[in-house]
Amino acid sequence: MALMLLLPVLLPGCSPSTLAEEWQLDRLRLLAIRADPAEPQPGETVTFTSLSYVPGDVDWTAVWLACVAGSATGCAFDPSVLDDLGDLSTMSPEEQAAAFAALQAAGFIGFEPMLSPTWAVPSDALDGLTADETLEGLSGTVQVSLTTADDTELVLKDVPVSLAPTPNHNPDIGAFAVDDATLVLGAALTVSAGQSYDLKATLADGALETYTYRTQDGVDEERTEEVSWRWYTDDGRLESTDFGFSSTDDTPSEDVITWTPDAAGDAVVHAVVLDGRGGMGWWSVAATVTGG
Amino acid sequence: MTLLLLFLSLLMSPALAQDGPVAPDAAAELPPLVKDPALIEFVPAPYPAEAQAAGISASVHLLISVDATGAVTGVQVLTPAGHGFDEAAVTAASAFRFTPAEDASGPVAVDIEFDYGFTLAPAEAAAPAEQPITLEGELREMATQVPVQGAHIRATRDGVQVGEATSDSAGRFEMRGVEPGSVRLLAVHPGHQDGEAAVEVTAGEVTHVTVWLRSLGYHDGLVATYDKERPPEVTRRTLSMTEIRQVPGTFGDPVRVIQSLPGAARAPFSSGLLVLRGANPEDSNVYVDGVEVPLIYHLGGFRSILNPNFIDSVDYLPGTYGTHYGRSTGGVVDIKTTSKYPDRPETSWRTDFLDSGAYVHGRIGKKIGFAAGVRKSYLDLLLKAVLNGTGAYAAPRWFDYQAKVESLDSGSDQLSAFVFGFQDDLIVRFGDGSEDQLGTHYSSHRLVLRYAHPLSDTLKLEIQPAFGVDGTRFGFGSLFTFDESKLLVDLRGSLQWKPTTHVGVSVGLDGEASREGYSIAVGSVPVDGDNALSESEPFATEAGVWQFTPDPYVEGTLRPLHDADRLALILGARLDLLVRSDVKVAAAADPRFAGRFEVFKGGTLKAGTGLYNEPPQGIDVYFGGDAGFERAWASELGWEQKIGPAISADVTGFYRWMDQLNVSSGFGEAPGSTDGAASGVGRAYGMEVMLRHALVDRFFGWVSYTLSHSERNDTPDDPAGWYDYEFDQTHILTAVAGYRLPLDFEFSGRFQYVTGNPYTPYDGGLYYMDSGRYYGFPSANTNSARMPAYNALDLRISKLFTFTHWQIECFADVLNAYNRKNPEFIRYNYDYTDHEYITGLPIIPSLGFEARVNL
Repeated sequence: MALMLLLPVLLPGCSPSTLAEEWQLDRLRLLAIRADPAEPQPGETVTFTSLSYVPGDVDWTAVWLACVAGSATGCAFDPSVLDDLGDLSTMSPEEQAAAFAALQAAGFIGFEPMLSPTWAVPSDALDGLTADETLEGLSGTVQVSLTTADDTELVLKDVPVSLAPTPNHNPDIGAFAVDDATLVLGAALTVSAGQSYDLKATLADGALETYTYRTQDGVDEERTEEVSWRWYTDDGRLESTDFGFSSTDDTPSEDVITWTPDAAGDAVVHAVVLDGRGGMGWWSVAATVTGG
Repeated sequence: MTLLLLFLSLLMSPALAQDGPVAPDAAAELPPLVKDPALIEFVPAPYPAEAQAAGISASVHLLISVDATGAVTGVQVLTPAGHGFDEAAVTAASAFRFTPAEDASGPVAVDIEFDYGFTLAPAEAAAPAEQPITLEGELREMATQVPVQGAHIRATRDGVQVGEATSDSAGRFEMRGVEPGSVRLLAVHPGHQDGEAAVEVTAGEVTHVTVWLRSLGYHDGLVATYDKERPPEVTRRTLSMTEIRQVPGTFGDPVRVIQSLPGAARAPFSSGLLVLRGANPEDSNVYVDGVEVPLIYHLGGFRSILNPNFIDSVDYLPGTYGTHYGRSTGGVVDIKTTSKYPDRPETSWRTDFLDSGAYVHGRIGKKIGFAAGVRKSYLDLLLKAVLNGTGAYAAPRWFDYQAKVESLDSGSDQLSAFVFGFQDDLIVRFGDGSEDQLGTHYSSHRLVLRYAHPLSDTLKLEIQPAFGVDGTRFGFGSLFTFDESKLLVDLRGSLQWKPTTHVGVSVGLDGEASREGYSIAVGSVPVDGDNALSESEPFATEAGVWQFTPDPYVEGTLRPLHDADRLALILGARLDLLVRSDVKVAAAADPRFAGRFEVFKGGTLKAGTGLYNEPPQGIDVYFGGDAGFERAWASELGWEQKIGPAISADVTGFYRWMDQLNVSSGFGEAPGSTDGAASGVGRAYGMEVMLRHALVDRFFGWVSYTLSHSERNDTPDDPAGWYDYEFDQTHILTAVAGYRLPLDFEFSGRFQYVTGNPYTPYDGGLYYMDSGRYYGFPSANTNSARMPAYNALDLRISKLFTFTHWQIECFADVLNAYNRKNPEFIRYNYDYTDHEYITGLPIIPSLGFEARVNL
């Protein structure tokens, strides 16, 4: 019976879809969040930067919350503070500061674009854990609500909080190449619509970290991060042989994708790398697409 | 001028209906016929004077009822001819004598269609008596080579009869005094086309000739027709193979035809899931000769697990069946295998785009019958050839086998051994051309022994032990493997006592002992499943459960009226016992009642009600928590009406209440908050209507309509907790029609309209950045939306070519003839803000053939 049920799941997977792909930027998206430091200790302050896509020239807001589930403080948000917030754009600086203080007291750590997200990890976040347990730590949760007048994107992001002797660092992309030609960060790129380009992102030296993991049997293992890559664009299509059933990668420190823009004008391509331990990095390319 | 009567008959062909007295055991199976009736005494009818004077020839189409002794008990005119022919034919046919038809239990009553022909012919010359035999021969049926008994043979020369004979039981005939020279032989026999032969009679010798007759009904494996139900089941639909074979969309597979009957919901993507009267697929059982099997279809749902030639009948019991069956709260499908073994071994080979199979059956000596079949699919290879390099696909690959030997010494002990099994794999081919079995493997094997011994004229003992092993393996390389195995021993035994035609009692044991075990190995699994950043470690686990269900049952049948067929009351009880190695013991009692009453000729009231308990199925065996039996109380009330010799109608209302449902893991049940607790309830109710035209005068067909509603509630205390069951289909309309064209062409079509299945819609999603996945926000109202309705037309045409020693049937099926894009599943985009439908099978033409050779 189980396989009878499985078949309808597998067969449709082979049929072509007309739905938008995840790499297509055609609506409000929050693509990546980078916490610095990537694995804070209790009492440390974490700053966040994000990579988002907002179509058109529209106003947007991003409400940030953070907490450590399972900690002594726990996750207790008071959403009513948003109801009492009022119109920040008409407030005086003093009134805005008071409003931000009230937000932070209620568990809110950011209210973009006015208040950049900053999180002071509770100093008691790991209280109650054994010394061994504090090495593994707990997972802080960051919740972001990115909103425009027409759309909302809800995102969860974990931020490990620990006393690990080798805390995680965010991976950095050190190089970006188009058809094997290196592209300097921030440099302009001009491409032709309808033509395919191989885009390659490469991790910076040392970005692929090695760390110690204590198994459930109490054995310490040396592990190397297993990174994953995500690509996004708002023009044309992205294709990769790694999409789908790819399970091995001989060169984990780099990733290649084929981009075929199809509309003349401005376009963006983002490469995002995740290290599997909460760390993130990205490289964005602004391109001018000329008519084919 | 004298009169010649030509008797042309469709004997034993289109619709041979078992009728009359019911089988002695209360748990009557309505088995297929193992011996066809044969006309042994033909009575010529006087030629109507009016017609003779007018020079009119004609044929009268009759329906002749023959009792278990071979005597004619009734004759109806199906197609009148007028001019006095009808009366003459009825009078003559009423005096016919037949050898009785037999099923596995012995002689039974049947209905036979018969064409009584009247033809004006030249005067006959009387054959001189006491002349030497100068011409002899034998009559045999083309392809099967079976001797034709009771045929009338005339020898004529220049239009004048010079000899006449009737073939004996070996098909032989002799003629005396036929002078040397050329003569023309004409052989006429019911059920066969006229056979002719030109013979040169040689002086001083006995000239020998073989005349081949072509059957009018090669296809008609005799299975009692639909709706001739017998107690204890209120609704037992046994299908004629003639009709089954011609139903489009079944690929010629008899089992698939149940998807065209009332009460059966349409399964998506031809998956073949059995959803009967709103029950969970896992709650309906499939049996082969009374032995439960895990699957009814091979992967993909295109083929049943048995070679079609091995199937004699398919019993479809969607509702209140007797205590003979148990361990299920849904319906039952019982596939009966062949008990027909021709004197000469017959082989067949069948090929179409899905698979090829071979089959042979015959006799060893006179007392042992045998049958064997094997089949192998190649759909995956065809897809590989067609789609090579154009993308990924998943395709099933299967293999099945069957072998059976049976003693044929009727009247004494009966013994049979039957072994069958199958293996299925799911082949996945990736876009880069690589191929993997996904580790997917499904296999099942059974050995069934049966012994029947008549203790006396009224007492019969049957014992049927069975042994089986099932295996499932599913995996994805080294990432994940799941193995499951099941060993089982079944024992069925019954004692059937029938002192009179008015009383019958059956006492039996339906026991099963099984050991089910699984092992899971995962290459890497998060230590903390709730944390996307959790480190992962290898994981492996295994478990096993012994389960023993020795269920005794008793069932009594009472036929209190003088005409025993008019009223039948069946009362039975089954004790469900469950003993498990994890120290779980459960017991439940299933009282069941059914009755049928022929209120007036052709009008029958039927009713049934009963409890049905089911031990844990599927993954509930391991993860069902404290779940014991799931339970259903099923009831139905209906009316059958014969509208004419060929047309009947059936209206049945049903209600099924289900409780003690394990809401946490059963397929089709929404995940419940009461994990592992058997607290769910359900109800299904509706009405089934079927209007049927049996295969008479070349035409058969039926229209079936089911109006139903099936619901579940995982929190029974909350009246607002009811939601539509996943396969709830409000309207199911099926129309099937087939017509037998001249020159052995047959054409048929099937149209279906079905309400779409419910589903729970999503409205956006939450992006969990570290796992890179969106998690959809399901609607708070479970299954609050529906897929669009399904409709499709399937067509089939076949042509039979018959040669002296073999036959070949070529057929073409067209599924979804107007290429309707029927939504089957819903697919959301990455963030659950948009969706599209995955449509079902497009138009699929399929060509195939089946060749049969008599050795």
